[in-house]
Amino acid sequence: MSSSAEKSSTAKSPLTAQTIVLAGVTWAVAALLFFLLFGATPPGESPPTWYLLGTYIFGFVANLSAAILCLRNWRSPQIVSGRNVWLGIGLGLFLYVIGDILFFLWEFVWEQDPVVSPGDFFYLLNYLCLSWGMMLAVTSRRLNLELKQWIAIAAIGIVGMALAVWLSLPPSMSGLASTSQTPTAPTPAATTPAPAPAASRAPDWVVKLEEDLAPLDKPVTLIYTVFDVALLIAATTLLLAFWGGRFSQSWRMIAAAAFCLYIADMWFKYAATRVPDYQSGGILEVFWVFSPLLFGIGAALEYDISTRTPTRRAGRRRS
Amino acid sequence: MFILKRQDVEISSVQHPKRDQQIPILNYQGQTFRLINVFSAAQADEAKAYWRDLTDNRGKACVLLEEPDRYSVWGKVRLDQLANDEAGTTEAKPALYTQACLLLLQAVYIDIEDLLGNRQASAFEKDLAGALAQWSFPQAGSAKAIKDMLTLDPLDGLPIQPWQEHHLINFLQELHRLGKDYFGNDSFTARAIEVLDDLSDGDRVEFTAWINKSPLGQLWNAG
Repeated sequence: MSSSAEKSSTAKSPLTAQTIVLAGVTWAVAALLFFLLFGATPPGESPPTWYLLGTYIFGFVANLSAAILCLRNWRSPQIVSGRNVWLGIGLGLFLYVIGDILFFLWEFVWEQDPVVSPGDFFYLLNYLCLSWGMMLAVTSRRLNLELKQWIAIAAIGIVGMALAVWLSLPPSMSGLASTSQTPTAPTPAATTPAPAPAASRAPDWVVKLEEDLAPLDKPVTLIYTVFDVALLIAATTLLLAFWGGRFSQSWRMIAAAAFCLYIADMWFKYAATRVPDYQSGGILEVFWVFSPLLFGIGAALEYDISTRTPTRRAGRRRS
Repeated sequence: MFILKRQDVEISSVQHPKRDQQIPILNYQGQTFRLINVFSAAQADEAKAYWRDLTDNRGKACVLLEEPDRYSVWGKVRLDQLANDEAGTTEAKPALYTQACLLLLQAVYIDIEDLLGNRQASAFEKDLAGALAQWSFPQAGSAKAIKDMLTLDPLDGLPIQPWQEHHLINFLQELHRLGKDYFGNDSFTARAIEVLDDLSDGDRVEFTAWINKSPLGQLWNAG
């Protein structure tokens, strides 16, 4: 827990990149241990409340710290990627925090298990901001890529998309029918031990909203994965274009962050349609914590790179 | 007002009969003009005023060339009289200006190599050669000359050729354009300007005063 206190104070104290990386790694390891040790619940049982609360806290702290670090880059005129790139990423992470809070209210406070909640609206906005920032980073500079690099990028895109589309097919079609359910019905909240709406703790408007949003389930999850692949492509493009330069250090982290997001979203998609009676807090959801941490580490590295002056003179070293 | 667009004219370069220098020559409808002065895109009004002053008050035959990123003023000249046509040429600036420009170039180049990697750096080298060839720069005609520009320390006491003011302005404009292309923004200028600390104080003050008065002030933000 000490690392979170350190990390969220970045806005005030000029922390070194090393401290931030260390704090991020610590938080990631702690999250991983927490998910591994307490996340495995026997089938049919819900994980304990304190565990779910813990998963929210891990994600919340990670996203908020990363958002602050990204917005710190946005404030710096020297930043190499360009200020708007970091504004996009930072705003995206902030929106994610808001989405998380809403999701928390729905799942925790009102004990609903919606397929689509208003939190999703903020997640979508988060993706729009992230994509805007990353596309800006790609389109604003000359890339000079070779053909084989373009092919590698295209391959990543095609494989990523194919996997996402395959997962969005009904289980019966993709040949992955789960043993414990009829192959036709993906389980939404049907079998959850959620109380009937009459006895529900949620206000009426929440229940109503949930019913209105339910049909959006399929498109929403597909949109997430499409965005994930787009982010992955953007980050990989930059990584390949500037391979060997220090600028690629931060984009390596951002590419990894996009990849984590992809893994977590794909897992969620898979679990929601194929794992009977899936509850939040599955082990692979730890990638939703890794992703913002990597964004934050990437932001800190780039801040460091942009503000440190390398040796300048070709002919002679500066004394 | 005689404003020409780039597609209306041909620009070539000829060897100056008396000096060891290539001179950019503009061909328009069978007439030849030589470069007198250059302005940035933001200085349209200054360029027009300068052109008007030359034509109305000094009775010169001039044209104004409008390009996306610069305006340039050209004065009519007959190629066979190039040797005795000294009027209207810009003054050559002291060598320290050339040195400062080369320092800035190397700072941007090293920055690209350091941050964006070797492949971008070699692409930059090619682009630079193309940009300088277009303006027939002194000492930039060959790949080796470009290499020297990027690698030899301009403060090492090597002979440095003084450039004319329009060369200096063109050079810094092209350098800024390329830097912006490669970095996608102008965050690189702040890092590059620091290199001027290697000049003596007097030289640095003189050069930054000139840069801030010139069309490049807002581009380079030399402070």
